[in-house]
Amino acid sequence: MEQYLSGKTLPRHGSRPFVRDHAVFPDQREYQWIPLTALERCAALRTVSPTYKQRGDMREEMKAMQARLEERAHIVRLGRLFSETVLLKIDDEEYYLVFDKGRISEILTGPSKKIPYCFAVTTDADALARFWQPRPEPGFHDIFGLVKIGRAQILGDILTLVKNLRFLKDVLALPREGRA
Amino acid sequence: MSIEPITGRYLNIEVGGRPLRIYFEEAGSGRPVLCLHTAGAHTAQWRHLMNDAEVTANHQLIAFDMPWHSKSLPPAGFETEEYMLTTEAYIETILAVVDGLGLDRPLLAGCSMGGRIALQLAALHPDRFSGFIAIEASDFQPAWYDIDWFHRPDAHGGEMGAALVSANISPYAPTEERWNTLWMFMQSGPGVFRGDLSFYTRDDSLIGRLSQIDTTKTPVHIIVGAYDLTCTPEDAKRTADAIPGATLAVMEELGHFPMSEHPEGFRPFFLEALNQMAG
Repeated sequence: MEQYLSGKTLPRHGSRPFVRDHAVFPDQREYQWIPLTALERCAALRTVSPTYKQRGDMREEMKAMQARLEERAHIVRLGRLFSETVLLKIDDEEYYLVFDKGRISEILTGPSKKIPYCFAVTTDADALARFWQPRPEPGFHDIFGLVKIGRAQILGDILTLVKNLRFLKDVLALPREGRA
Repeated sequence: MSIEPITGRYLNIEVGGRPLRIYFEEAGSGRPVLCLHTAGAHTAQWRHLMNDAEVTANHQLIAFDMPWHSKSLPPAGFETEEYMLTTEAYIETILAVVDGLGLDRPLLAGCSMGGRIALQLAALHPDRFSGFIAIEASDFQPAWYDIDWFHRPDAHGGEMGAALVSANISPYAPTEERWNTLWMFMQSGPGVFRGDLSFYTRDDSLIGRLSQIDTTKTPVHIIVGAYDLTCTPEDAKRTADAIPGATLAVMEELGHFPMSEHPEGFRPFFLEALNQMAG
């Protein structure tokens, strides 16, 4: 990732900037993104794939999750102190769920090497479909179950995940409601 | 309106030379069955079986809160101590309760860490019991998590613990009982779940003792739920296979807290276990 970063310090934009062309890292220095080469840009924009239809479906799923969360005041209340970006990576698709005080304020799609996130859950569409069943099979019934059976990984700041675990589990399980 | 048949009292014992006030509940009459709760919880996990007239018709069910848990206060001076459960202290506590209540070779039924210690007692003190029902029990479970997560000033350990163990509850569990089960973890005192997990995830001394268990004298029956991520059916089978003569039942639609999360689903398996222990 460092190949995309330069150490040039930028003016600060508040304590938690989320601006598309730069990021703040834990050392509190700001880094500017060096523009991608044309070749890299082409690779990043290459979205035609056999899963194109599924990609559209998954994007709708994320939007439905966002909308359902708006209707679940008790879940928003659980997440009232949670304002972080979470990466949900499903096969080769990236969905950055930008949480703001317990709501999903924005859903950014990847692939991206530029969007900072707190932690990532990586899995596959089939595992997620089984996870979202009202009564999933053993192992598919919980995100840690997916990890245990080798169908998901949790990367990044896992402590922040655990501190907000009930909230995040409730959010990720929202699509189950549409299948009940 | 109704009053349940469960009664609760307090027993004063000594463990490690220190006085402890132990809360216990009982229901029924007949063959005594001492019931052990899981890590980070308390006696209320057994509420459904203790209210089950068919179970209590010929069994006296007794459950107690471990020290530091729910209504059993920590020992005097706890404010300067770090709670860390050990196999030795756990065994001493259980045997002191058996003595204190005057129980003559009760059946021992334990879940999770209670199932683990039941198997330790089967190996080390079989003469004190007449049989062992080890629920969600295995030889050893190393932690995939950091137990220190659950005792920090910047987070609610009880809520974190509940959210973690929700991974072990079956989707078939009735919603009300799922949340009743999780509530007990939310109630847990600071550092208590962590101290229990220290015992559960770091002490592997049972592995070498399993072959010592003589099931011809004291039967061992292991029960495990398919939705238990902590002690999987594979873990339970490996453990049962290492105990000559042990039997195993797998519950397809239940998780790690079967008596609490899904009482109707667990009932036939518990009745079957009691029948097996009848000899």
